[in-house]
Amino acid sequence: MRATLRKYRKIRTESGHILWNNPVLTQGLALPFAIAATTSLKNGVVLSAAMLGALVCSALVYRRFGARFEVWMHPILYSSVNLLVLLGFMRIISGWPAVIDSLGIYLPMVASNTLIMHMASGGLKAEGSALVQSLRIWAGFSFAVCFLSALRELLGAGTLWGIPMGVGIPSLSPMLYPFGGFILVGFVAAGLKGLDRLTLRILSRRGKLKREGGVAGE
Amino acid sequence: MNNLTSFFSVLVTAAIVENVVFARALGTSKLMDRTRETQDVLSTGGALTLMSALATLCNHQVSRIEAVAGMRAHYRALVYLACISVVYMAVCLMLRKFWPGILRRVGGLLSGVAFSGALLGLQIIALNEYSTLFGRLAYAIGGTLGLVVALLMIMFARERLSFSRVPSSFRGLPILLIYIGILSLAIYGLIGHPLAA
Repeated sequence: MRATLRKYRKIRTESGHILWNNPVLTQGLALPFAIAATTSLKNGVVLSAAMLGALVCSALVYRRFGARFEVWMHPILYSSVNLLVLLGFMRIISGWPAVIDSLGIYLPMVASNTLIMHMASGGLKAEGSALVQSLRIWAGFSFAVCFLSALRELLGAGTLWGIPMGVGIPSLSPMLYPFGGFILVGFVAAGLKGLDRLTLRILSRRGKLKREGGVAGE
Repeated sequence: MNNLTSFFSVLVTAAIVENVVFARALGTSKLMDRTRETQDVLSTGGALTLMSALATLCNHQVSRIEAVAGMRAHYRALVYLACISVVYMAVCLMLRKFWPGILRRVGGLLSGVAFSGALLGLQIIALNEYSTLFGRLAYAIGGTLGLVVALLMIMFARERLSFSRVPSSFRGLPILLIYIGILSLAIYGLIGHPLAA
């Protein structure tokens, strides 16, 4: 059982940015996207793709030019690079005007947000590849945004990727408003925390019982 | 008198009815984390108001250029971001030249404020919804005031929640988000209709 607990702790550390140390749900970074912009799965996927470009380019620029500029100039450097990335990205998705309109002010905000500024202010560890670290942060962001957007679309509109999911799903249209987003993100964050604690408690208790049983048996 | 009335009307709309935190979730990330004491909230608010006013002046001039005015809204937003970068650079260069000590002390705060979603979001909405400099300035300043009020409310709520008996899974960020959600629901009731993104 100790081995299982150790294995769980290892998985917990390795998948840190996706679940237990998620940049959005645990650290509270890039919350406006998760709360206000995740009203449909399409929005979530587009945001996630835009953030991939922004984070990877920021990480590459950070490693290549970070040391050459004073700290106060870093945000300008990243936002300028991301501005170009986003310009290209908007050209690519220009065939999806409905999604662009639905994202509204949140799409341009990908160029300058707390995830980027977190990296700019030393969020990347000195050891390890900047690219891998930025991809981990992106994976966590994508998981949170796509999961929330799918859940909100399903609960709020009864559809998934615009396809009706049939009867039986209760219509909770308030889920599509920012207040619904706040409350849902709060519950999902609490759920993740609770699940982690419960798993750790169960594994620890089982290990303890087994040890006690072993001692009694002897 | 008429101008003054419309200025205050836009200011109140931006500060209360269309509060950036409760109605658009802007400024909920790092900005919220940065504000654990009243002094932090007020200094953040001061820096944000200054940057917001300067960025509005700059963006207003830029938005009058024909090529920019003819752009689609989402491309125009990127131009506004470039303007914010220019304003931030100008402020930092001025501080470095005349008051280097202040730049060292408030450099982090300035960059956090200038490149926050709240400032960019406010600029985009102000410049898209209002056509006069007066209206845009009123919206930008009103929005900032609304943000400061919201941050103060969140700060006091955080204090009170830390003394409350909350289930362990909900402690910290989750309960704070649910609290903001309930406040946001009240604001939604006040507006009575969905906001444009």
